[in-house]
Amino acid sequence: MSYSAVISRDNPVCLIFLVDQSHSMSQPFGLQPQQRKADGVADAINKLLQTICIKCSKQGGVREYFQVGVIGYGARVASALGGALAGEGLVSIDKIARNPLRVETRIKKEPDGAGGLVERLSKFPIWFEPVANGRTPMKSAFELARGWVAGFLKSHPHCYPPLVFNLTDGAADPDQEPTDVVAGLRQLSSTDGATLVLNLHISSRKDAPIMFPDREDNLPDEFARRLFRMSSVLPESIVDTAVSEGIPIQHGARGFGFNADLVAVIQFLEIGTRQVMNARI
Amino acid sequence: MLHNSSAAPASTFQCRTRYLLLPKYGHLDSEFEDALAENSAEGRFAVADGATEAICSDIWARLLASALVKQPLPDADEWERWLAEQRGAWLEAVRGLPLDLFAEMKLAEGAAAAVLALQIEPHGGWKALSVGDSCLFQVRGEELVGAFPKTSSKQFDNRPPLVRTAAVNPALPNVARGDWQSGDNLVLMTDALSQWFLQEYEQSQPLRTTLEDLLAVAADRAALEQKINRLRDSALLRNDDIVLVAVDVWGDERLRP
Repeated sequence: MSYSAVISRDNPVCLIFLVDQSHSMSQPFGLQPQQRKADGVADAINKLLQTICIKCSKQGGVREYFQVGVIGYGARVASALGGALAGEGLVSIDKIARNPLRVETRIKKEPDGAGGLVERLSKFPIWFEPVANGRTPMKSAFELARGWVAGFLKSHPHCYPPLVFNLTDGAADPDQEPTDVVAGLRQLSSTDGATLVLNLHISSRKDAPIMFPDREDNLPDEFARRLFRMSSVLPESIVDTAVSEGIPIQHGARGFGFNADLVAVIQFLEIGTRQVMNARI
Repeated sequence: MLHNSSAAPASTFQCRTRYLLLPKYGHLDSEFEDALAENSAEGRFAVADGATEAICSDIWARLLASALVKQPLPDADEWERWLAEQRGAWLEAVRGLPLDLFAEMKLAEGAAAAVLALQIEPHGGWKALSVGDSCLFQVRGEELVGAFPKTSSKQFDNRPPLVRTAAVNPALPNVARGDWQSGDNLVLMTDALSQWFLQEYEQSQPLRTTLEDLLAVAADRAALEQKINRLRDSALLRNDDIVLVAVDVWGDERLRP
């Protein structure tokens, strides 16, 4: 059965995030007008990295069950991790854990057990800063990711297949149409299955998000349909995991979301990584 | 239970304990999160399986297993109080451990473990207590005459009830009782090995022979690893920590195995 490889230190998971850093990411979400899209995406990725670090954490430190890369594309296309990790490609999660840019203290609202909310201080490590500057060189970003995935698969031919998330708020530059590169990327495979590419369109509009559709007829325009076609069909194991947790996804659904607001960004990343995060490692 | 023995109970008992343990493939002995404990004089044995997804579950598993063999198994109405004591002991044990930021965050979520304890009683009976998917098997000759709490290899999943250090919706223990006969083998196993053993049963394998084959290499680490990893490689056995405690019990010295 595909997409079922055991995750271990010898056989880690490769996770890559492609983040649109074009100028338009400085605009707010349509449904969260107080939040810039770039800030919301940075928070979501920092939170996910924190969750992965916690998952891999044991008494002796964080175990290297994941290799993670973050590629920013805007004024430049490069690894978007900073500080001691600047310029590195895929980075083992134990190294990520040791090298946040800083650890912020944030106020978190939690249920107080009596139907209300109570404010608590919590630590929030930052690895990835929001940037909104430049155009949308999406093809170059996917080319960089393709190189990282190819290198990873060479060293880990039996791994759980790499997961590549692309978070964008607009169409690629005219000379940066990534369809062919993405097709090549999706053909890169381990013995456990092909690389999964998941695309999320982030919106400044107030339209309801369309999450994990299984057909393109109901999508609003050609841009949405192109992103849909560029997205992998979710393997049954991911669909089953989501369905077992009450998330209604059809078999045949694509790793694709359109008109995502901040809530949908977080949900998209959670559902896409749920199976590897649920693995008993 | 598959069924209970109906033979006349023995009035006293003696027992011999053998065990094996092995960490999951690719992990160090220091990363082992299962635990076992025995108190042969009192006829009490326990295994515990620390939850991999939590932190300091190895400490929790060792603590629970030790506590379960120290005193008579807690009754249902004593469970909460007994558990509160163990939670206090765990908090004491993890206080001051050198943990990094993420380990501290994870520690706040608490630890968890599956537990299984067996009490052999002097007049031919036994009692077992379970939370989770570690299993007790009663083997007589080559036959399985009892299995608790799982009776089929299909009953295992990734979300067994666990004993948690966090006092939220605590899982209550299942209790089973049965009778033993001289020469019976009462075997405690954590989940991966239990599931494999039930598969062997479902394929009508001779179970005593299967057990003895395994126990024969228990003291030879290289041979044990070879045997277990072969099962893992062939996907017959999930890659997980394993513990097996085999208790041969007899009431008449002449029937000693």
